[in-house]
Amino acid sequence: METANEELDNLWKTALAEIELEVSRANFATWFQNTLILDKEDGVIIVGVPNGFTKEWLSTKYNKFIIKVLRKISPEVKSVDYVISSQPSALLKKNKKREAEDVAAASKESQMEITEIYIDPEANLNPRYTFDNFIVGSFNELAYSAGIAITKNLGTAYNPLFVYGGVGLGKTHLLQAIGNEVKKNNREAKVQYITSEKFTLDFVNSVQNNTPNIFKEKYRKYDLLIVDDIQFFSRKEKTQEEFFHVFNAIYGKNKQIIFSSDRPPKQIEGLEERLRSRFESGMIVDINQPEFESRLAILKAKSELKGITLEMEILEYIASAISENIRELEGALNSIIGQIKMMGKVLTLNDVKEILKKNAKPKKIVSVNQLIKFVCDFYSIEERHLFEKTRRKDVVIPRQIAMYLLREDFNSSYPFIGQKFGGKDHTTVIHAYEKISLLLKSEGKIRDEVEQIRKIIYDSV
Amino acid sequence: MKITCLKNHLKEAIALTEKISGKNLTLPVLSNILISCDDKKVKLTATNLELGIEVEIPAKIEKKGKVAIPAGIINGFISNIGNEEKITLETISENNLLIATQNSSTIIKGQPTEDFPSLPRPENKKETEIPAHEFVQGLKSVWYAASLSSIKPEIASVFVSLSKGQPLTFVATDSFRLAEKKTKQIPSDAGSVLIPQRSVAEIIRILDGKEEKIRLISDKNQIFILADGLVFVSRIVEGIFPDYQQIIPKKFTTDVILDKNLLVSSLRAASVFSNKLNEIIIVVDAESGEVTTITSNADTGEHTSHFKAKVTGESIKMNFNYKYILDCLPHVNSSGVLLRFSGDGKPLVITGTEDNTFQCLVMPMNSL
Repeated sequence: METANEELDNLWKTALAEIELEVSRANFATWFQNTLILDKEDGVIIVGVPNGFTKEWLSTKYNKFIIKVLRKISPEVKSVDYVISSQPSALLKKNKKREAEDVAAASKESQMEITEIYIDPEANLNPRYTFDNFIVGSFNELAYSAGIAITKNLGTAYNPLFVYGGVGLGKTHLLQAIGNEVKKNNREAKVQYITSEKFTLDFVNSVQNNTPNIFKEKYRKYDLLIVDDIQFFSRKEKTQEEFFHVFNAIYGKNKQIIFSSDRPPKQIEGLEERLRSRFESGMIVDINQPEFESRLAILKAKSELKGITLEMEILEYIASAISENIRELEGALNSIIGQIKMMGKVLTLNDVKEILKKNAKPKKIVSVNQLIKFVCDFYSIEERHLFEKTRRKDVVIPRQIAMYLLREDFNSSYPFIGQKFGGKDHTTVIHAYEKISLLLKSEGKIRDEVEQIRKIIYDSV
Repeated sequence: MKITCLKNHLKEAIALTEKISGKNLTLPVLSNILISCDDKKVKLTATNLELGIEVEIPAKIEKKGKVAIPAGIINGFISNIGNEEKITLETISENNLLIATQNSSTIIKGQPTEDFPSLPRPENKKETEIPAHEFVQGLKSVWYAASLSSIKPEIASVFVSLSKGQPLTFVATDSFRLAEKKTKQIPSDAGSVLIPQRSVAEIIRILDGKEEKIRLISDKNQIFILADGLVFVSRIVEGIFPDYQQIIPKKFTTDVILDKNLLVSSLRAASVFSNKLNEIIIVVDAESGEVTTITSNADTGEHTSHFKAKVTGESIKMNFNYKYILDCLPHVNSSGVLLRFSGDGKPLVITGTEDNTFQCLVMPMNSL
């Protein structure tokens, strides 16, 4: 294929060299620059031209001359056709680069943008999410590698890929980056990014308008289908059924499918078994909360992107104050940068602490007794059981989770916690803390439960 | 070539073609207007290889031929000669043009015509008829909102959508605001085209004030506009316009109804004191039904004005670029303006109280 292309390139180059001698420099520059031979078939040469004017002028004025020159080099040429093909010229590229800089400067001003404008209307991808600005740490390394592997072997590496993790940890970024990368490598690839809500809406519309076939056709033609926030399919049986068929159609053709959810398939309630087993049939990866170093790296990258350098001390403080959610991390950084811009001075660590007070989670507002009550309510056990000397599993885990939360979220000391739980030794508490910390990494169920308890606690204050 | 025509016809045709003739291009012949005639018609042609125009003028033809004359020179001359009625144009000594009137005779140096390109011709024959004033009004209502940068050519153009059962729709956006105008239904399913902003400016100039029907033909790469004795061709932008429907907010938190003229004049007054970002603060007080606009500039001073309005919903305070609001108000075809807010960081929707064919979205500014 490449040699054939090279041959055509060479043919046109030789022809152009000859044409250049015969026509004036102005005419050559206007009409022959940015042209190329696209194809050659049965003696018909297809010449790609940049616009309608060139097409018209080459075919009325220069056609005979071009054929004559081409025949001299390659005698089997019978005729020449002209086709408008949009090859960006070198000049345009240069202009674009300059303007890109202009706009980058302008967007730093305070005018907000309709960001949806930049979404690729065909694939529904936002070009701002790429692998280049995806920060990899141990918390998302596996998901990242799986994503990269998929872009290299579409449909064969891990199919389907199921990514799960809490809100604001970069699931959507990863999913869209995979889509953008695939699109970049192969412009012809049919990629579609969709939220499960949009899928449901589309399905409902197709039922309403009685156009089920259009709906079916639309979803089955993709090379890569990305469905975000799949947990919203929960308890929508008809949608699930339809999605089941779409899944089978795409999967059957060895096309790639990627899902995301805020929890693993097993924990999505109201999900049909056959769909669940299909979600689990490929690779399941999770994105955890970023550890301190990753949070710091994210903050550094984001502040550099916004053209503001903050002192290491301040970045470290933000990274330590906000631990669960990258989106909140960005929000905190944005409000600090906003303050810097508005006040026009360098902020001290104390100023930053002051600003973040509004953002940071309220600590120590919940009393120990309240927290224990929340945990007991959550597991529907009586409070007194928690303090009894029992090793029944249904009591042990809640007790350890309560200890863990007291330590992790409320900074209580180990001896203090031990004392609260009926005079237990501080080593018992340390054990509980470490055990839950471990379980959080390995057991999705525990992690989910802890998250839910946290939510109840923080919603109550 | 030898022709005789009325000065006014020639003057009009030259005025139309002169603007489109190319400047600073590698091909110098493009800065000319080509005047050509066969047995029946006299045509004036100009192009810059993005746009092209061809205008016919009524004339008495004595001898066929063609000549290419620098556009700026002939325009400067013809638009300034006095009360002449009839003009005779005649080629002399190859490329030069002799312009003879009752009292004067002028020779303009021309250029060889063989390098002057011919305009592309439409390949497809499917025409759509549209009243010229509808088309112009639609373009005028939105084109100022198109992006001036060519990074994303899809939005550096006006989106024109023609589909059966739908009103003829015009949309433009530069990602900071978006304007949409719907006119009446046209029985056609020609689809949609993206006309580059610069071409839109020319189309408005050429067709403004015309009452007749025009015919549109578009193919993959260009759009042709055919009117009485006039052919206009422009490159169109390849690509897909953003799915703008999903950007338009569906729910609003605050609705404000104001007198349009009052709003325009108070924005103009306030704009004198806006800062270099054209920032204006709009405060809506739901309880007292009062709208306040505040501008302040470190160098010139500050300004506050209050006026009564019909407010429903919540109180709100937001910052905008006043120009974006002012730009669209003349196209609201109603004496009352409806401002619909949907909360912080969400666009403001501006439309008429008695005009639902036009709406404009304006994004707020960060109020840091």
